[in-house]
Amino acid sequence: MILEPPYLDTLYELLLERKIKTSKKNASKNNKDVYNQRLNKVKEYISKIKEEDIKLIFKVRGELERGVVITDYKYELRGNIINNSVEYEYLEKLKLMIIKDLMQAVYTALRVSSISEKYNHYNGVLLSDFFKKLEVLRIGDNNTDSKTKESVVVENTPIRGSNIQVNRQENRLFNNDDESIHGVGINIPNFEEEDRSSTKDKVLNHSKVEKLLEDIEGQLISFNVSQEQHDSIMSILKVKDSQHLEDVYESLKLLLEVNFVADDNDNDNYAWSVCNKPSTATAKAAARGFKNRSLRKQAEQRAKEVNKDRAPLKPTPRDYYDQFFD
Amino acid sequence: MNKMFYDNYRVQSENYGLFGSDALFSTGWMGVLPAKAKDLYLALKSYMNVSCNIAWPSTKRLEIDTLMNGTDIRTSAEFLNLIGLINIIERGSSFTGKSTEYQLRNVYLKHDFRTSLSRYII
Repeated sequence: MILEPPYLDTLYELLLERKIKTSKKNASKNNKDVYNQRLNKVKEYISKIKEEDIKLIFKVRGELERGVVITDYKYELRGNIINNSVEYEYLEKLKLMIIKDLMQAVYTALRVSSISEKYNHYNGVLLSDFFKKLEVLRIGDNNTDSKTKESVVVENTPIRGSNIQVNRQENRLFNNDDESIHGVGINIPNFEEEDRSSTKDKVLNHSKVEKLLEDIEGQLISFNVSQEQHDSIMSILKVKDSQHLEDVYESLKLLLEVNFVADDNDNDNYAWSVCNKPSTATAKAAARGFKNRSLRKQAEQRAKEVNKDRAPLKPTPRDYYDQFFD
Repeated sequence: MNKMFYDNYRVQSENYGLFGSDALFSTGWMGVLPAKAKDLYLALKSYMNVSCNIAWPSTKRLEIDTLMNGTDIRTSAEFLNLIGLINIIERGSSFTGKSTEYQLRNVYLKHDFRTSLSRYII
């Protein structure tokens, strides 16, 4: 059952067209009154559902943390109490009760009445009507959306002397990776960068830089860098920006994942080059190359070992046999 | 009901999260359905052919299983048909001696859509 207004309306219309049972033996005289009462109730519940925008979306058992336990579903099995209770929030439970009442009202209305021949297969009729109405609604919605989008979109043209322009310049300077800036080719030196930034940002940046430096120190130790080189690299990195440090951290991380070793075991010079001009792309490529090389070496070594283990081929009687015919 | 007639709407209705897995308890339908309709649904489910989700028990058989009147069974079947849990493919009659064929449709949540489709394509 789809609890959407077009569906419910068609349901009500179909219920109205049913015939009341009077001819059969079991049919009582009050059938007409009962039928009318139920129909009114159905109308009430439908209006309630429309007002409160209730939808038949139940949640899976155990998903909700807070909620009211419905005790009806508790039962005993071989001495053990099995709790199959469905937990709903209180408001959701109230909504659920409205749906339940609606269904009961529909059921009793059906019981009192019988199907008219016109709507022998009314399930399909219901669905088809519903989908037709939905399509109409959707097309309408799409049209309205396009209109609103056109009206809402306003180009943020920078006003001369406003703060927007200043902020844009700052953003351009900060995000050097943006292609639009390179295309324009403007590099305005920003002398007042430190003054504009607030104290909070400064503190945050400071803490960030310290953390990054600590991390990089650990990385260099694991990278097998000698102590002299280590000290010299750290003295340079202390002056650099946070973005530069981030790049160094990420590139070293990529290399350490593969247990990278430079050519001729010259890790000191390699670390120096990485820390001076860090770039994640080159580091990624280097790591990939090293990994492939190491894998190839391993494969070659394994092949050699296998060949050693393998015994030399002994001549079979077949070989001696073939010699006669050469 | 014609099978072809319904198949036009089947795919659409599945997209709206109408039918699917048999998780009546987990979805919460059990808390909402009237008791007699619920009983009939479960009784039909026990006689269901899994490959095509069709059951054709006689009314007598259902009366014995569910302990209900013939009128109750008829109304609850209509109710389930109206809600969309059941699709009555062919109505039986005393002339042909055939019982009615019910096609059961499973309920599922929206996030179960893919898993349910793989199991329960009708």
